[in-house]
Amino acid sequence: MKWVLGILFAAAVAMLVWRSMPEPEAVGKTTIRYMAWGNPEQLAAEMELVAEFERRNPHIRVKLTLVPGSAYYQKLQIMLASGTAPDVFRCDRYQFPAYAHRGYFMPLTEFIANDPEFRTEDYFENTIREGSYNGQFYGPNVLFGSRVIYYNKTAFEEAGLEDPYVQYKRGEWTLEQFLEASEKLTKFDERGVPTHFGVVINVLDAWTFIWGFGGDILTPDGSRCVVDSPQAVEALQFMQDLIHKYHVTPSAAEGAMNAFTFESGRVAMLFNWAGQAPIYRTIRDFQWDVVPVPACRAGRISMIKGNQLLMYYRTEHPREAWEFMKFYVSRDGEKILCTRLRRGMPTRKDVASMPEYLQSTQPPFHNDVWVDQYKFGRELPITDRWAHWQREWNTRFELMMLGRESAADMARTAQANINATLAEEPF
Amino acid sequence: MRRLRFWHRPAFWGFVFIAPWIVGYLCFTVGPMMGSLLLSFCQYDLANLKFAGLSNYERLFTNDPLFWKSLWNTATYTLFAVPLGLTGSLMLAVFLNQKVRGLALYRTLYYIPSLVPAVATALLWNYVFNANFGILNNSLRSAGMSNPPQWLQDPNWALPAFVIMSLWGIGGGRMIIFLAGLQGIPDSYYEAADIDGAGPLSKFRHITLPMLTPMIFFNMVLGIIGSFQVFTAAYIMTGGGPANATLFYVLYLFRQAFEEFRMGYASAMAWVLFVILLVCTGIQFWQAKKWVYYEGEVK
Repeated sequence: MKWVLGILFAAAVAMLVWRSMPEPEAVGKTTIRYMAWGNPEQLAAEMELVAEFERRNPHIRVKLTLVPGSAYYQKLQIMLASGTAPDVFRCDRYQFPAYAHRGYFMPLTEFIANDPEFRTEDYFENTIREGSYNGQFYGPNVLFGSRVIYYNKTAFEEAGLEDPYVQYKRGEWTLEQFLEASEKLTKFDERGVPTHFGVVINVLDAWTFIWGFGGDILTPDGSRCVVDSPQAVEALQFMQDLIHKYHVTPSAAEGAMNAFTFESGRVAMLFNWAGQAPIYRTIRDFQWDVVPVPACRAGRISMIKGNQLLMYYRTEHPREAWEFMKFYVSRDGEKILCTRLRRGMPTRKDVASMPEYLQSTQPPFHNDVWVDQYKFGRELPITDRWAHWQREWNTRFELMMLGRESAADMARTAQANINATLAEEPF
Repeated sequence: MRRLRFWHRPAFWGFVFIAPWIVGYLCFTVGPMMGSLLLSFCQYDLANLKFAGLSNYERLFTNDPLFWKSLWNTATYTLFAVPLGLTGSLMLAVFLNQKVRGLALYRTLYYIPSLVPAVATALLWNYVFNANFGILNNSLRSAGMSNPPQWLQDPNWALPAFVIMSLWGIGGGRMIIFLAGLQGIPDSYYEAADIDGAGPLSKFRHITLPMLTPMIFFNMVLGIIGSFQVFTAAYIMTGGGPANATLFYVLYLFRQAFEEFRMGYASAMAWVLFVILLVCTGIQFWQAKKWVYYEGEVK
């Protein structure tokens, strides 16, 4: 019996010694930790970028941690609070101002000033603006995206409708065309049960429609709610009508449990982020592509938003961390991400105009649609208070889409309640 | 008598042996509880800690409609789910206490649902309640109901749906406790009642029920506490929607703490819940004197 215990003890000691030894390949290298989230395709992309960076910078090793998206911000928040955050991490724009407000990030303004390789003018202005907070630049934008319409090309052809991209190119892709297509592409079976829907939208798309109708939800500085305007109410009414008047969008009950997904071919047009494109590439049953949101009464305005790549303010290796961040959004980094792996929109102007970006061999083929987003895209007015008023907005929107509240009532109540929240001191 | 050295006293060794538990309890239960009590008087977003006096409590009671909404949802849920669940478990236990063939099989079958993990149960019930192709509405439609409720997508029906779903657990631990209680009732009582000419119903009313009151009491106390902490199903199935109809107290607390990072506010909510449950349980113990009978107790 004793010799068994002896062996176990020796094994435990050996384990400890082995674990505390530096890994042979890491000797003489600086290791930085990088954390991000994503689906398996994104994981592959991150690994490829890290591998390429390590190949070019043999003295730096990047330890990549991938966390499931659902648990990401809990983990990040706890790491930040306990002082164990990674040197570099990705953060969605929704959360970035709230964290920046608490001073968790290293300002990069000085790094940029001393680094001739990084020039802000190489990037689309929106992407630099999004990575800034209170006049300081904190994070290059990665996985930049916009809200576009994914459409089922085959369904349009079969219904004898003109391709919306062709209409867009002619300047005729308007709300009227959009509604006409939605109506023609919604189908019911003999019992009157819907089998196909023309369009699927989400609470986020209220921004697109309200902007398009000439209204707004918040003031541009995000300090006050201004949704109780005739233009915004008209836009909200239009969204409610998509379900209750035209019946071209599934109600909450009809759409529950993903009964209508784009992949299944049962949705002709879907509002979604640019980041969905890689997932839809596995579709084999029909042809699809992307088109911008339709032009509404006050013009065509779509929503654009990215993730920020940020440096922890207590990092021990700021220089190496900056090298990695810079590589991620360098010409070569974006070429890997956007032209080869075809993920997200390029934030660099030179990559966006490369033929190998604009001409792809797999859908979506209309890559100029992404580039056009920089012309009519608008950033969301996200402040550190964003999470505080979202719940009220979502509840009111939900009630309106259920048909329990009129658009006018919804706008009035939402504005009053959200302004009360924003006026209150954070607690 | 010579005083024993402390390590010779039996109590010392008793404490030594339960020390792992005591240390764990102090470090991981009492410690955090005291921490959260202190936090409830502060503003804490994990980055900045600021003393805030009673302002968290003040805001909860005077300026937070969602606090009242979540409390109302939880209380309503408890009011229906606990009595229904207790009745269901009791009836099931009585049924499984009969002398029929294949009893062990039935007992196993009825116990199985409570072994399914909460997340799997929630996903399963999502299918059951689906307004268009769910098994519940399909049955209602074939029974002639042309427009069955839209359950989880209807603010008026979502909470009742959760009450119905809570019946899923009637075959679990509660039922086992009732079953044990039933088997502890001496046959002689029933034999005496037979001689007196009592029917099955009056035997149940005058022997079974009174003899089971300690188990009913126990299950009720635990049931109310558990039901005030309902969380998983709502978190997974509805996220508190539609329009906050299933925003339960603990779900709202969780969001304040881990989505909006208002640790002080969430701690205050936790202590309010603690006091509510303390009062509820206190009232039940006080009332218990009137209706709970313990064998051998002299009244």
